[in-house]
Amino acid sequence: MLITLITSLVLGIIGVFCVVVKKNLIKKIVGLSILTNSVHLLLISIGFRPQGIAPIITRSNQIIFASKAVDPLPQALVLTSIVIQLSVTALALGITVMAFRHFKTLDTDKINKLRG
Amino acid sequence: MFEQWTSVILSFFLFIALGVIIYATGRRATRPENEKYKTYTCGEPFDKVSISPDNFYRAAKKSIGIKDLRELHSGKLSDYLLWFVVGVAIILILVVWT
Amino acid sequence: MLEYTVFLLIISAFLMLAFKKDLIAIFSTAASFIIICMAFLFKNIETVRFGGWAPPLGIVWVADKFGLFIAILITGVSFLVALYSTKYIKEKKHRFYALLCLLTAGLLGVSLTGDIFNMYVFFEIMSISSYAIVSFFLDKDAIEGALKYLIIGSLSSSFILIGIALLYGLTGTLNMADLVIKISHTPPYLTAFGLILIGFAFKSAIIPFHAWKPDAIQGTPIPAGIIFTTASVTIGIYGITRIMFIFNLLTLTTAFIFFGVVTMIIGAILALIQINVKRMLAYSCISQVGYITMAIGLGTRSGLISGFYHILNNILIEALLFASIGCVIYATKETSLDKISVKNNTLLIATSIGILSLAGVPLFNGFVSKWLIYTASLEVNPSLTVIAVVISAITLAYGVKIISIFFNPSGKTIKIPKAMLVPVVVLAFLCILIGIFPHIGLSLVEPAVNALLNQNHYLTTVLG
Repeated sequence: MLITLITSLVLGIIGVFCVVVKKNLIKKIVGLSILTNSVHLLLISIGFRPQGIAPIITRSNQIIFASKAVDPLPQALVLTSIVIQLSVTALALGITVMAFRHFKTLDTDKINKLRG
Repeated sequence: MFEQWTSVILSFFLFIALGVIIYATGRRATRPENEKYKTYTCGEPFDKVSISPDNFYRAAKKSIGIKDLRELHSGKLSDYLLWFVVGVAIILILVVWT
Repeated sequence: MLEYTVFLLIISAFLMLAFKKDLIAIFSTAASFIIICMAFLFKNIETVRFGGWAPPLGIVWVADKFGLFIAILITGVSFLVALYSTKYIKEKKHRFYALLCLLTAGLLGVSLTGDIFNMYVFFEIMSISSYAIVSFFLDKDAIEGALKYLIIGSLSSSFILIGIALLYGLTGTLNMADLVIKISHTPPYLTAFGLILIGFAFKSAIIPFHAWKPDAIQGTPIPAGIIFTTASVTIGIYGITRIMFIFNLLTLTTAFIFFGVVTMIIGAILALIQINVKRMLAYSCISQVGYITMAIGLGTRSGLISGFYHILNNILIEALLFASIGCVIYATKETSLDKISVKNNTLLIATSIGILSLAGVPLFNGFVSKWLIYTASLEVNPSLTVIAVVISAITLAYGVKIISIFFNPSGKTIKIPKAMLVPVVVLAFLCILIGIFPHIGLSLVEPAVNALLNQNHYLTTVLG
C-alpha cells in the first residue's frame, strides 16, 4: 500500500535527522528507535495483500489459505529485528548511564576527550 | 607468478651476508677523549640522552594539509555522523548512476 | 558438522559465566579451529539444511572454500587471543571470555551462512558483543569509545536491514543462491546493493565510515583490539565480496578503487603524527584495508588473489604488532610514545619483523602480497602502483617510531609471562615462514579465489 510506504520513508528521514543533528544522547537513541521502527513498517507493508486474512490456519480457512493469506515471512523477520533492536537500546542506555557518571553531561559535543 | 622465487630469495640472502661482512670488519664508533668530549658537549653532562619518538615528524604536524585533517577528526559524534550520511549519499550516487 | 562449532561457542559462553574457568573458552576456540581446518582440507563444498527444509524455502548453510578460508583465519586469531588474555586481563576474566566466545560465534556464523537474513542476524550478534567488549574497562576512554561505536554502528546496521527489505520486496526470496538467478541490474536492485555495501564498509573502516575506529581501539583492552583489527575487518570485506558475488559485479568498479586509494592515503598520513601507540596501530590497520579494497576493486583474477593474500598477511601482521605492543603496555601500563622506554630482546625482534613486513620489505610476508598488488594494479592503471609504493614508504616511516621505543639507553628491562610470549613467537615465525615460502599462503588463497569465481558450481550444489 502506498500510504504505508510513504509513512515509512518520512519516519526514516525523521529518524536519521534526529540521530545526526540532535546533541543530547537520549535524543539520539530515540532517533535510532524511530529509524528501526520505520524499517519494520517497510518490511510488513511489503508482504501485504489486498483483502487478505491473517496467516493463521484454522479449521474453516484451510482451502482458501494459500490464495488469501498475507505473507508471514516478513512478520517473522520483524519479530527477530525487534528483539535485536531491544538489546541494542538496552546496551545503549546502560552505556549512557556510565557516561553520565564519568562526564557529568550528556552533550556529545562535550564528550570529546579522544580526538586527533 | 613465482617462477624465479628461489633465485630472488638466494640473492637477498647474499646481500644480507655482504652487509654482515661489511659491518663485522669495520671499526666500532667510540666516544672521543676527555678534552674533546667537554668541547663537544659544551660542558653539559651527556650520559644516556635520547630523543623520544613523538618528536620525529614535527614539521609534518604543522604543515597545511595534515593539520586540517587532524582538526577535522574533532572527536564530536555529530561530525562523524555527518560524514557517514555524506558517504551514504556519495556511494548511492556512484553505484546507481554508473 | 559445521553448525556444531557455532553451537559449541555459544554454549561455552554461557558455561563461562556459570563456572568461571578459563579452560572452557580455550578448549572451545581450539576445537572450532580444528574442525574448520579439517573441513577445509577434506571437503569441496558442503551444505547444511536446518530442519530438513530444502532451499529456497529453508535456511541453508553453505561452506565453500571462500567461507572456510575466512573461518580458518578467524578461529585461529580467536584461539591466540584466548591464550594471550589468560595473563593480560586480570579481573572479571569470565566476562571477557564469555564476550569473546559470543564474538567468535557471530563471526563464524557470518562466514558460513548461505541465507542473507541469517547473515544479518549473526552480524548483529557480533556487533552487540563488540559494543560490550569495547567498554570492558569501564573508564572514561572506554565509555567514550563504546558510545561512538554503538551509535554509528546501529545506524549502519539499519541500512543493511533496509537493503535486505528492498531485496525481499523485489525478488521474493532470501536465499543467496536463489538471489543470483533472480537479480537484474536496474536501479532499485543497485540501490539495495549500495545500502548493504555501506553496512559492511562501516565494519571494515573504509573512509568516510572510519571515524569510530581510532577512538574505539584507544579504549579497548589489547586482546579485543587484536580481534577488531583482524577479524572484524575481515568479515566486513567478506560481506562486501559476497554481495558482489551475488550481484555478478566482480568487475572493475571505480567506486572501490577510489575509496581504497583515499583510505590508504589518509590512514597512512594520519598515523605519522600520533602520540598514542594504540591509535597509531588503528590508523595503520585502516591504511592496510585501503590496499585490500583497491585490490578487490580491480576486478581481475590476479587482483582478487592479491587482495585475499593481503587479507591473510594483514591478520598476521596486525596480530603480531598488537600482541608485542600489548606486552609492553602490560609491563609499563603506559600507552603514549613519549613515556615508554623498555628493553627486551624478544619483543624487539618480534616488533621489527612486524614493522618490516608491514612496509613490504622482501624476505617477510608483506612483500609477497604487496608485490602481487603492485603487478595487479599495473595492468589497470600505473598511477595506482605509484601511489601504493609511496604509501609503503610512509608506512615504514611511521613504523620506525614504534621500533625506536626499544632503543632507549635508559630503558628498564621487563619480564613478560610465557602465556603472552607464545602468540608473539608463533606469529613472528609464521611471518618469516610465509615470506620465504610464499606457496604456503597461495595454497590457502587460490582455492578461495577459484570458489568465488566459479558461480555455477555454487548454484548447482545449493539448489540441486
